[in-house]
Amino acid sequence: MRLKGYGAKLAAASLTIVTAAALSACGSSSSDSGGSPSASSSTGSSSSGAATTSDTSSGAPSWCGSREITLALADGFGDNNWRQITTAEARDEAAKCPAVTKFVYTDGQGNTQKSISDIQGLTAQGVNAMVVFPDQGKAVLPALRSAYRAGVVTVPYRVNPGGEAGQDYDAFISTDFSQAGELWGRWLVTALRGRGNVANLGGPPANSQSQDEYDGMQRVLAGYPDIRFVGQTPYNVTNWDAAKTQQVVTALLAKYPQIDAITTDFGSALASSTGAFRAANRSIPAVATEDANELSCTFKEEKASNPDFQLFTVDSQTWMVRAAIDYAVAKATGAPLPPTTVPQRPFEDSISGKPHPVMCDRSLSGDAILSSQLPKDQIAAALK
Amino acid sequence: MSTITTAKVLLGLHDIWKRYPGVDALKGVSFSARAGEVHALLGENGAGKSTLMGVASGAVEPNSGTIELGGDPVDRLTPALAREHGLAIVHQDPAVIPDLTVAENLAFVLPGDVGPRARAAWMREQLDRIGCNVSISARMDELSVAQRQLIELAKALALKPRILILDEPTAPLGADMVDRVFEQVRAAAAGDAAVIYISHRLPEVRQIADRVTVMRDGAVRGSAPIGEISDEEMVQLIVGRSVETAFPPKPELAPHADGTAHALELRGLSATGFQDVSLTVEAGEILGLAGIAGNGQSDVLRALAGLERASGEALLGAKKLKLGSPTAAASAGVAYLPADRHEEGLVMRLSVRENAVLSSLTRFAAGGVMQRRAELAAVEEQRRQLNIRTASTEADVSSLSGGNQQKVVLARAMLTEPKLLLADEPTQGVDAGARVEIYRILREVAEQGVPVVVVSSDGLELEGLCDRVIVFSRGQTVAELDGDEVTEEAMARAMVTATAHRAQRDGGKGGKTGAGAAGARPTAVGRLRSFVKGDYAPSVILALVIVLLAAYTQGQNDRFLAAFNVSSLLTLMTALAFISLGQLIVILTAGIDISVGPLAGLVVVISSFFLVDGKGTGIVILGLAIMLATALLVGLANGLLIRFGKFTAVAATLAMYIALQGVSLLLRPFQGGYISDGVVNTVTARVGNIPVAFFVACALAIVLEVCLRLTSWGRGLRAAGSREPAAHRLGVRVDRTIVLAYVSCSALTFLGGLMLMAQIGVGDPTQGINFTLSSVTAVVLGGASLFGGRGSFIGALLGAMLIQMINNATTFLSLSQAWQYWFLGILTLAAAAIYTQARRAGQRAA
Repeated sequence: MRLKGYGAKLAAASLTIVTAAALSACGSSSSDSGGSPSASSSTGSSSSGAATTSDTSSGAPSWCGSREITLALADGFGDNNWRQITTAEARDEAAKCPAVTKFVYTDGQGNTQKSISDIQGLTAQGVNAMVVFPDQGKAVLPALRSAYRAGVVTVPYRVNPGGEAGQDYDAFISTDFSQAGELWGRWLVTALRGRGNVANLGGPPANSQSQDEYDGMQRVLAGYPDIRFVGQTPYNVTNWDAAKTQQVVTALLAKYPQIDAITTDFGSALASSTGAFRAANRSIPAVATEDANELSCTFKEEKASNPDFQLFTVDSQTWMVRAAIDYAVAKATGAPLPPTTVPQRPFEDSISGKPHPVMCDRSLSGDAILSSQLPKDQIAAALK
Repeated sequence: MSTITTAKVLLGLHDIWKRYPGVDALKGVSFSARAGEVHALLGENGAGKSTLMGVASGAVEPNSGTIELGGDPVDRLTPALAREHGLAIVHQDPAVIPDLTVAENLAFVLPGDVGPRARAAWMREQLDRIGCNVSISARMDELSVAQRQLIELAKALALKPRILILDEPTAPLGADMVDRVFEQVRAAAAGDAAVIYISHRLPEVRQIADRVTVMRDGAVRGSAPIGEISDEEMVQLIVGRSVETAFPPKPELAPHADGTAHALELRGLSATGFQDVSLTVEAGEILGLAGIAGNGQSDVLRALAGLERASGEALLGAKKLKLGSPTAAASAGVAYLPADRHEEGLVMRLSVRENAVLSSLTRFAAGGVMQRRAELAAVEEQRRQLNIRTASTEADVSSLSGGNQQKVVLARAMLTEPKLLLADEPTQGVDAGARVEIYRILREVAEQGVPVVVVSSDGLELEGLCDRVIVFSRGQTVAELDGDEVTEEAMARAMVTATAHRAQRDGGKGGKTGAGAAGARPTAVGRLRSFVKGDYAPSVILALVIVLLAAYTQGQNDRFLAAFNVSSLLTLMTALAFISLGQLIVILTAGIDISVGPLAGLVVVISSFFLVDGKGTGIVILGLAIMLATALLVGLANGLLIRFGKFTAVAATLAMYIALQGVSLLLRPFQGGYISDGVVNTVTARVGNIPVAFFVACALAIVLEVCLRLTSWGRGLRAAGSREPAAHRLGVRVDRTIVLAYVSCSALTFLGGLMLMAQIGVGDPTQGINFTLSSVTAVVLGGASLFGGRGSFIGALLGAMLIQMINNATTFLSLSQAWQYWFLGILTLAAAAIYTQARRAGQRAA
């Protein structure tokens, strides 16, 4: 499974932190920066999306124990904006714990053999803890197991590698994509006032993320029979590719005279498809997606000429890696273990303005992801 | 010499007919070769000599007629049967395999009773006998044409043939070599062999032949003992035609005024194919260059067109022509009509108009944009003048007849407003009507004051068309015919009576630099050079790089060579190693197998249904059998598609790639089916820290390497990849060899698939595809040539190891993300560049 490249930037990170803190099982009351609009002020204890308690006595976060360790991030694929920002967030998070004496990053280059080799190589060089983005799913399970059995704290996240925690690896840090679907579904009910046609766009065929998101929407929309999906279900295949997204949107516009909303898990790609609406002489409809700077800026530019255009985004979760880092470091350094699930959270809503209105930062590139917890200069640096 | 006629007939051909569509190549030819006799066969190009010898050697099947070998009639003659009867043939174009060494080429004719230790001495003896002093370990493509021809002769003589056919054997040889060859031919005849000697050269024929037979237009025109026929009679028999009247009248040319520049003047021009040619052409004149094909006349045109590097001087009017650059030649006003219209003359997929203006784009462009109206007008004008028959100037040029295509090439030349027109075989493959028009056009061009130089193998054409003709033989001008002397007969006489030999620029004593060093008996420097160009230099370089990389990485992190990492590295590399060994087999045949990656993936997908927990041994064995059978079938399908379906290797295996991916996705739309631990543990079993599979891969590589060098399978494989037609002639069963190569590749991919299965432990429809690219990379790093014929299994194994090691070392060295990509890429590029350069250096010198 691949993750696409979105675009976005940072400003409201601290609000997401508050939400995260509230939802997280730690339930700690982080005292700092809540409500601050600038993520650059959110340092230390505040910035983890999952575990936010801080050990005030040492200045180190609660997940940071005393045993010194080498930490690795084994990425299955590293060459898009989402991964670049994620990697920068991982470095940022690791830097908070003084016990982490070395941080190693490997890029599997989308090649299973390289990914497996990376995991084994990291094991061999004696890293103490390893966070793995297992793009190839179960195909890297044997490698994870071998690392786990060699005594490395092994923490896969975001893509399910199969196997079992405690047997094949230490923990799987997961998020429930159907929650994002539920959030989109609820917003659609409001935005469409209970009636309308929705086109859902997803990634490659048979990917579980797009499927889960559709299932989540269905759970909500089952109670609203006047909101109907048009085009392919569970989703129209776009391969998370901008060019393919454009083709799909153009075809949908030609086929369906009325499309009231589009849901998609790749916001940037949709941003590059706005020309299709202009060509068809139709307003961009309501859009529910994951946050991307490019799409948010498109919203600001196009809203005036597209009366039906509304935008709702969930957080793109580039900071999710922080939860995995926290867990791996806690386990390896001997600190209390943070939770293993990361919630899906709303980010922008053009109708309610909550938790944020649409946030476009033109000083950052379209690739930027504003829900990131990194300060703006670090986002810019990560995308270079 | 009365014994000649009573000697036993070893080869008898009676009333042989061979018809090709539209032409009768042989019309009831009878021919016999007797023991102890040298029988010369004469005739022009296309007279039917080669077809007849094809019939005699079993390569061409006649439509009717009878063949007798050793006095017994043969029903259906095959090359193998001919060889059994002691027939050996030396073609004009030697059947040697360029990527094999001299020894390996000679091994095709090694008698069974020569033991391994006596081999080298036996080969040396064969070469010394004909005065060939090259080292038997030299690679064929480092040798000169003359040396190759001698080796081809040595090969034929080594067979101790009863019937020996020599097709223009002396063409590339110098005088001293010719004497040596004649000695051997006489010795063979003295040993009661029947020798058939094909030649264009009467003096040679007089020197060596006992009997002569002349062919023309597919029939025997005369046959006599050499003592009973004069040169004049032979020439008559060879030519035997009268001039037609289809040619435009030749004008009276004013004699050249002293002190003025010639329209074209060559002073001591030399290039590959000809030496020291000096000649002049006047304005308004059509000069013909005559000669048997391949005697240098076409090369003169190519050199003038800037297509070959040349030395000497060429003056166009008073201006010196810059040699060796086609662009410089074109801008000086040289227009060249190549003999090979399809390859060099036309872009078949462009229209008539586009083809016509290709050379004069700048003339019709303003600021880089074509001025369509001017372009159309000019092209239309040419179409009318040259009478190009096409529905429209926008029609694809490939839809035109040969004659009209040639007129398009002419139109292009005309549109450049040339100052010199060079035409190589302007009427080849052109129908009679168009011929007349082309003659008319050439004459009109000349009348406008443009010097025209025509090369033609048709003497009649030169006689009718040219004001003056210069005859070439072995790269030198041997006669100049002017005015009434310009007759086909005079040309033929000049060609066949010429005694010129190739100027010896190579071979013989010492030879030149580079080639000489590689080809001659080894010296220390020569040995080093030939090692650098050899098959094992890449392996040694790779091994060095591996050791250095290991040492460096170990220096950075001492866990690199720790047991866990060594064992993990070796386990991971075996999958790629097996697949790379397979890929190399295919690449040696000048093919490629793109489907290896998905096949490895499919093997794993199939295993995920059988080799899972809870299945009995029987099911596991059944699963393995199905996996192997699938692989073998895929290989067989690839091979058959390529050899019998006439697909290119890339097309066939790419189609297979897509099909296999589809099957995998059908069988396992999602990841699933965990491979049982028992199976995985068996596949990844270790002795100490070293995985058993690694030992197997190494052993396989060594066995394959030994077979590649020492068995007829290996020689056949490399021969088929290096030069298929020659391999064919040498008796290699090329179809079988290549199909088997794809099957072997798939079998090795099956082993690789097993290793992949243990790596990923689950059925996954998208896995394995990376192996396609990695395996080709490993093979290239190992020094194999993608053009086929050379490579090393040890090299491929080391290549696979290096790739895995780089992947592994990057994590130890904490390289940046970008460097994790660049490291392998740069290394591969460097390897490909270095190996190619080393090889080219070897060839350039030859």
